[in-house]
Amino acid sequence: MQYSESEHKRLARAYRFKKYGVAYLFLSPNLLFFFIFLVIPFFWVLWLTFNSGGILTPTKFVGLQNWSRVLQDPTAWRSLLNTLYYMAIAIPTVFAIGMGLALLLKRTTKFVTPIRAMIYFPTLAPIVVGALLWIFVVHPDFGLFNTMLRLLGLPIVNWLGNPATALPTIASLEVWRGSGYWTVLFLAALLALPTELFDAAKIDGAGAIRRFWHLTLPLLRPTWLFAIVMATIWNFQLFDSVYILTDGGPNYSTATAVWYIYKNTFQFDKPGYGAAMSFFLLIITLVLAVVELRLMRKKA
Amino acid sequence: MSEIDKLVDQLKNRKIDRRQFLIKGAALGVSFSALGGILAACGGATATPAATETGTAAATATTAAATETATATAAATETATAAASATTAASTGGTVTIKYWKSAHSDHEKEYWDKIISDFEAANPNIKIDHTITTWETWDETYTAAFAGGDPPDVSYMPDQYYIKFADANQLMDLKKWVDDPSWASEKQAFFENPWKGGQYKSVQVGVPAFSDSFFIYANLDLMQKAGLSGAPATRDEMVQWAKKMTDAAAGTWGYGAATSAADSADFWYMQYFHDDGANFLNADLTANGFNNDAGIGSATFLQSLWCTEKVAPQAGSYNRSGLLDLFKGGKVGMLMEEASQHGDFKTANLPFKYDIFLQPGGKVKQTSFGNFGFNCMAAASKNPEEAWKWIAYIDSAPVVSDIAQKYGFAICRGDVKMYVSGGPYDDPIYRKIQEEVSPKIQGFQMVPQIREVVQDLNSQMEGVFGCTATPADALKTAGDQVDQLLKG
Repeated sequence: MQYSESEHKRLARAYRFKKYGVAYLFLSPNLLFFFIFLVIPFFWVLWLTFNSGGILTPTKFVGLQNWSRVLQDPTAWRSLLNTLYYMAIAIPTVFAIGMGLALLLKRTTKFVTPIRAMIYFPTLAPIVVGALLWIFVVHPDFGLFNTMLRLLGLPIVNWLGNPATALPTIASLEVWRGSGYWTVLFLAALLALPTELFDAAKIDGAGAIRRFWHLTLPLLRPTWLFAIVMATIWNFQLFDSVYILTDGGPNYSTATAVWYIYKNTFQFDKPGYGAAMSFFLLIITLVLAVVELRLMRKKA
Repeated sequence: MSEIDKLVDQLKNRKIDRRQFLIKGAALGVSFSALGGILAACGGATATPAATETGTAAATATTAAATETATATAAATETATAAASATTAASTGGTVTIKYWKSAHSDHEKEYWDKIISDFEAANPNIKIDHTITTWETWDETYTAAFAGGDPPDVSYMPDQYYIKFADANQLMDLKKWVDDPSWASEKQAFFENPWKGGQYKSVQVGVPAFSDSFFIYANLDLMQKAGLSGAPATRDEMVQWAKKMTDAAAGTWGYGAATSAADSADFWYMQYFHDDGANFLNADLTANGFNNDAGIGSATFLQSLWCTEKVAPQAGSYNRSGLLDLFKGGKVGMLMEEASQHGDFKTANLPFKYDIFLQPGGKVKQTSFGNFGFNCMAAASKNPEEAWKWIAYIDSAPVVSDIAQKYGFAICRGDVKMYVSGGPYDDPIYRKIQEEVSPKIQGFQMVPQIREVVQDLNSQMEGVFGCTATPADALKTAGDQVDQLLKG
């Protein structure tokens, strides 16, 4: 049977629709939300970066003014650097604790479930509750940290009141809250590793440390890749604990990028400036994520 | 012929009696004092019997300036009742819903406002008030989203430094049409000048003042007595000496306490010292910072001495505001800088010691209380401005605003009602002091669109001053440069 070219095209379209149409139909609810809540806001925020106003007043085109102001604003730079400093403290610490606990839990045979639940529990605590609890840990007069310092005969520290210790103190709160999540993630990855490789290494005389460095860590690379990229993205968004505990103080020492975006957008009524800063944050996060992915893949 | 002229004619022709005149006049939004004046003018010597005839409501209203709280509170109900029938008469159609948003000033917020709303709705059956209690913590996001979304509350309670961005964006209704109406003239005259002007932005009347808040020192009289002190310190040097006498590391007591962090809006706890020395957030013409000068550095140096040299206050950052309040309630702070509304909480807490209040000793220029004013504002987008104005006029009327203010522990912004009178429901010597000695000395914020950013910049640097990590001169220079840059745009 011969078909004309146009008939052929029509039939091809019908075939493609039959083949993929159902898939798109099922995807459409999700795509709808994706477009409404991510794609459209993304372009709207991008548009805002070139404008002043836009929330309470109509937008007014200002070109690259918002972008150049971010570059000249010492508080913006400080908040970005603070965020990087916080990440440098929080991410390695939470990974070390998470991995250490996961290794210990892997060996545990008794009370496994309650112990896992206990470790995961801080992750479930709402940030407001966690932050308020942390006040009792870091309080200069009656806090847990200073009680321990007193017992050791060391001078007490004003953890949240001193610019040098305020950000590490907030990082410690986030480490406490995050350890449970990373422990469970690493534990799941550890339990999924093939035991025959470890048995073979043991027979070949490899010790526990050697097995960890040469087997466990390399085999966990896909998990590390996910963990590092996600931790980078999540920790760049540090806001709640800063807002609750210090509001960026003392002396901007805990001002973070998202805190400063919030302040400018909502309190100072500068949505264009907040949007420009959001894009700087997005660019930095993307660059870091790409670098991390490349580095990890190269090693793999 | 205006509606009020018609009413006056009807009164003169004896088509309506004085009671009906008052009721219908109230429905038209005319104040009771104005109506009283008209009655007096029309009736001459019969004005007094008329007042008796119309009951407590009319009597209270016509003599508002001299009326004391007990009567005024009772008048609230009467006023509502009077307005009720009147509005019913004036009602022309279906029910109008007015959205009213206010953040809480009390744990009993709903209970207080339910009563006010039910009185108003009973009086105005064609108006329904949809009341929402918003939270202070998310105030910015909530109100910004509502106004940006085009469906803002018809009436909102906004403190001065909060309303500015909405006023600057022309999102608030100019209330001139109503406040300048001759029928409301006597009401307008009742307001103090400072708060009234505080409700004006760029010659637009964006709000009618409701409450004023003020900060001053709460003194623990027991600690003072133990230290052999009485009265109030007359100078800053004397205040330091007092604080030193009451500071005892072994007993864990501190001579002075004040919030110092940006998170607690520390400016409320220190700006009065700046004002007293002649410094301010901004200079007089609002074009540059007003604190990076000798006056500001002098104030900051004095404040730093309390924390860093004399060490008579708990280390900055060791206690937040709520922690300091707990310390004070526990009898561990001799002089605590706090806001007026805390007195209500202290009374409820039944503190185990006696306390009094006084202003901090004056500075080089004056003695002030730093505080702010809260306004009832109408959204420019309100679809029912006349009904919204009726609600504003009602909640800002002397009986209603004074009653709720006393429950909050706030002062009001109008001078025609004496609060905290002897034998009244809120009779209290401390409230009386707040009303009579502190409130007239309130100095508030300077109103520029960038005020919250200015405050943020200064508070952040002052944290370094209180934390002993920055010199006052360096801190104020840094903040001053930031503010100047900000104002230049």
